[in-house]
Amino acid sequence: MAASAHQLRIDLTVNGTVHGIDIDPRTTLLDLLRETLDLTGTKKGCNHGQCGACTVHVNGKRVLACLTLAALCDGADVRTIEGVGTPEKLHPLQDAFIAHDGFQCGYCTSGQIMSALAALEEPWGPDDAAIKEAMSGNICRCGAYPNIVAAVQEVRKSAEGGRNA
Amino acid sequence: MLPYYHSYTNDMEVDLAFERPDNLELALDALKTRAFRVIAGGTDVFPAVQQGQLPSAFLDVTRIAGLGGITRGDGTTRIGAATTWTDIVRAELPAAFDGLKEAAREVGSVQIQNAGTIAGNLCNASPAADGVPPLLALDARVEIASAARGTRVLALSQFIQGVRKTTLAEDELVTAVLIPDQALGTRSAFEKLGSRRYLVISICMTAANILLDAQGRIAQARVAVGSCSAVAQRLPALEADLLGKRLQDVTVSTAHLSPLSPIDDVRGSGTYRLDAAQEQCKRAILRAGAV
Amino acid sequence: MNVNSTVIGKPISRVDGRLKTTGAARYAADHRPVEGRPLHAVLVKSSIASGRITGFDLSALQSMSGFVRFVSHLDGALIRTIKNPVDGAFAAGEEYTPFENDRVHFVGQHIGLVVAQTLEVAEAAAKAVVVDYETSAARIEFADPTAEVRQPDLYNTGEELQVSRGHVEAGLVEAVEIVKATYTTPIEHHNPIEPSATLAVWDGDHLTIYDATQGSVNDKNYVAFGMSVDPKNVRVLNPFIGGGFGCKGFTWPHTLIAAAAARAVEQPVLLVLSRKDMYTSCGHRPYTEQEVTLAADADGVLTATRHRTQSYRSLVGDHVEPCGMTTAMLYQCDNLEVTHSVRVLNRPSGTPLRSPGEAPGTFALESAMDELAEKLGMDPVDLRRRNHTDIDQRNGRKWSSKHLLECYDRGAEKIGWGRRKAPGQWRDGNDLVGLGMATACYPGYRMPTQTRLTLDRDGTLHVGVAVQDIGTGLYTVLAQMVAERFGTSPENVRVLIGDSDLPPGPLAGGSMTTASVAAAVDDGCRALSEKLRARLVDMGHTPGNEPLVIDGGALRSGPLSVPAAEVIPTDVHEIVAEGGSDDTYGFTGGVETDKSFYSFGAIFAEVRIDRDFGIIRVPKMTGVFDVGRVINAKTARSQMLGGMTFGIGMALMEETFIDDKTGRFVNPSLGEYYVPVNADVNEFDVEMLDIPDYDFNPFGARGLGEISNVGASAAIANAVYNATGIRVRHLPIRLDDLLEDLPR
Repeated sequence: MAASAHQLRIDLTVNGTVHGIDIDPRTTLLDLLRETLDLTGTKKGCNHGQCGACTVHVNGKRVLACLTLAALCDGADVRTIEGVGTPEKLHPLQDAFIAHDGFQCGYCTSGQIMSALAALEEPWGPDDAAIKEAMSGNICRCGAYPNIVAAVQEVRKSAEGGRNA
Repeated sequence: MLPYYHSYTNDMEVDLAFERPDNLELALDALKTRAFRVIAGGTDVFPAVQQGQLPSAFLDVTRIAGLGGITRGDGTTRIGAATTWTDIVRAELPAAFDGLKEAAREVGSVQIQNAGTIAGNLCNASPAADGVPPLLALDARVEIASAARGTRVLALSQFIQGVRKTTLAEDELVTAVLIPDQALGTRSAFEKLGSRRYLVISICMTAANILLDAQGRIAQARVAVGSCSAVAQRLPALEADLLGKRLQDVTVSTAHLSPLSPIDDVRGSGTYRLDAAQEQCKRAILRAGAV
Repeated sequence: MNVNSTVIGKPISRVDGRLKTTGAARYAADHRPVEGRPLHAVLVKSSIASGRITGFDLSALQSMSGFVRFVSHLDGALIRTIKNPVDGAFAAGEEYTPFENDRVHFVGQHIGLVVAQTLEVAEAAAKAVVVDYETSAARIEFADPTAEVRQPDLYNTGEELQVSRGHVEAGLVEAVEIVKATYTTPIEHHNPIEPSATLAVWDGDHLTIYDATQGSVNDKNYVAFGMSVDPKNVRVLNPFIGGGFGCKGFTWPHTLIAAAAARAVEQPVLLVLSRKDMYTSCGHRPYTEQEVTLAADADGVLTATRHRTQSYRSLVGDHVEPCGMTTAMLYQCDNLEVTHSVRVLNRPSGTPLRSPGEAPGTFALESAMDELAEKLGMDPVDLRRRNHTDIDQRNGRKWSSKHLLECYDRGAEKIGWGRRKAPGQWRDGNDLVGLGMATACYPGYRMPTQTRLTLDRDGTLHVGVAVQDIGTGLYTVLAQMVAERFGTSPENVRVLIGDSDLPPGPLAGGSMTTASVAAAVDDGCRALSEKLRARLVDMGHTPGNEPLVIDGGALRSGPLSVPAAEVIPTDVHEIVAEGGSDDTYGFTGGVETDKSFYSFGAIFAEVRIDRDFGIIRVPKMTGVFDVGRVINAKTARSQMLGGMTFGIGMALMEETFIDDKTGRFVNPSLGEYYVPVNADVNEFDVEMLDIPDYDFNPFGARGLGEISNVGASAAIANAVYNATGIRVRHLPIRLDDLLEDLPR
């Protein structure tokens, strides 16, 4: 349904699928993903860039979808949690989050995993302190932090082992 | 029409306009016509929008060629206005920029550092902007352009005038931050204090740029403190006293902090902030000076 | 007792983990109506603390394309008046009817709702509503001398709030050392990362609600009452909840408002609260002032205890922060007085927040115990041992199972208590180091719960109960319980929860779900087992006395093995049995028993304090807990980590400020209300004694969601004292509390 007489046309790729969408220019990337594309795996926690629950990748970098105007994403390549793995075919990081119990309620988890995926590609050191800094933009009110660090470390170490092999 | 140029106006609701030029000329032309909220990373704009201060028009500068990136030459390091904090963290820069890099790692979270830009941080003019003290300590200047008056350059200390207040006119755009080449061997450090380890508004922060001579004496010093006044301040008296001193002889007195006027707020008392600033100055100087 | 060691207690990964890690788990705001898209709703909230609404100017809304409707008290009786929530058989967060009249009782009260085609339009429209008020005098300041002061008799559990035994004054005379001090705790907010959300979908007079609630059955009854429909016609679905910590426990007005709006516009309505809304819409922990007096003889034996709590309540919510309840039961003391008073203020309503009463109450009590130990020159752990009791001090009953002394011993050993030095004497480089400890405890609660157990022709077991997993691991725990009873793997059990149409169970609060479902599952499994045995006999088999095992698609009993597909007739597809327990423990009207039920623990904290800045870090916390049998070692440990993280937040960061002039919260955001981030948390060492409490339920489990938060802030505050010699009697402990007096 057209809510506004004036819409802005954008094209963007989400998880490999190209979308051409007419948007209200006020729409954030987060609301576009959730309300227009029904990709509800990305969560709204604070809508102010203060919790990290809406973390997605835009053009390969992790950003906060709630602070990203959808209009700025014309031509962008967006990756959300739905583009990482499925319940039937998990990404190794998702496996590690389950094995280490890196979540409780699960609401911040999509953002944690998108952040962790990016962090594994960013130039961080190998120690826990570096992982903690890398992951400090994602609040987990249930307090799964030590388990999140353990999950990220497991994947980091196995990737490192793979590279060294 | 250029490929990324979109123009949008909705006169029905809140007279909302959205412009997305792909070169500087178009951007400056747009700024001639009306007041815009310039948007790049959006990390400071959107929290404000959601609190009800809806700008009437956005100017997206992320498509402007040449507005991002770091270049060096002519005695200057030029940091494009749309350069993100992550770009700065990862850039190959002399040791004099280490303090700026440390500050960049404290701007919000990595997600915010990936989107937020150096010019955005300066234009937002928050007393707690993490980028300002290290840029003051680097003697940064701000390059500003407008269609009517061309380009002007002024010192960062003159650019930011107060809480959320800059000298930027409505038809102007910040195009770059310019850093004069620092003397070879200059090193720097940044210290930040907050109520939690990350994702925190600074209670007090300090940046120091230090050059030692061959005898280990301080030959040049620039020290700036943020969150302890409406605008982050250099400490000229301290800088003067540091000259000729060895690191082990560095002392910071309350008189050195006279440019600061910290307020009491829920994060910390003014007295505490002064105490902390004093200690932070010492630490930043020693860390910057240490080989 | 058949304890299958391959299932119960094992660190089994969450059965819902695949959904939660892939974004496939749907929370309230993630659901969509079967057809089409919901309309979006945004709340309009009062900006004044007291007065009445004299009018709305909606002129700016009418021209907005996509604006649908503004709903307020001017629409007449959209919601049935809630005179007495108890009659409605539900627990409401606030005892008033939203949109009933023009009265305003606090800043942030819901006074209208905008419904629009899109979220962007709804948000713009809500901002464009102009409200005219007639303000009246508001009582906001805690110390307002004109505020009405009440001494409530009972907490919501039925527990006495005014307790007196022996003669405190006589006890004070006997004492050689007396500690008398006032401790304060701030306003705190739950801040689950999922904001509350309601999707209301009407089909005739049937209503389906996807709600972020900790209690689907309670929610159903509340909404049915408010909407004047038969509770049978209301279905509440909450398969996943993004944390609650209490603010989604009772049902709050926004859920009713969403349902009323959906009925008014005859379309599905989705209302998602903003983070700012969350600060005034679903409760907080009120500020408390607690005066604690502890008196002891030369041996450290308590001769008198007094704990006077002053707090506040709103005009429309009756929550009392019951800080002294722990004090009344924990230590042996014959002369005791516990009082609670509340001032009635024009502030938003309070509500339980993870360990209501216990968390702020033990900050005061356990800090005072530390002060007493210091005065007596005793080791703080020894002082607690000295006053240990095997009798519940409130009622003279024995504990069903209490192993607190072992918790002290293990905790002291694990943290290295022997390293502890005199206050201010432990230095390491630029840091001052200290150790502190506190006792933790939390009541054992149980509520009536029913279950449905089903075996299908594949040999898969299904368990259904209208409870919810707010992150505790209940999906997994239920699968383990059923698997244990039928000798199978949890993978062979399908768990159905989060749906009020299932057999009723309690809300997720008071750490009671596991204990409540334990009794119900035990009975349901027994009922299913009996049915299946009868069926086997009907088929001509002779099952032995061995427990019935259902595994690999077959039923086995001793040498007998029959495929499930044969046991279950083709025309029925499944065999269903219902079971449950009507027993209540820990609340008034509960089972008559000669035992008291409580979980216990000991929390130890190590702090390091930067001498130049007063920065407090917590490099290590150790918690040893006696919580009955642990069903899942992995999820249980996680809950403990979470509670201790909450404790760090409470001790060092969390505080909501209120402007006494306007009644507004000053920092209603996650950017200014600090909770711990990943880098604030270091080593946690958690141990659970894992001693079953079979008097409490057939699985021997007590609750563990809240106890890990109890005592944590006191342990940290006591460690800060040990490190610095500075006693901070308020929370949170701020950087600038220490700097002036720090030993340099």
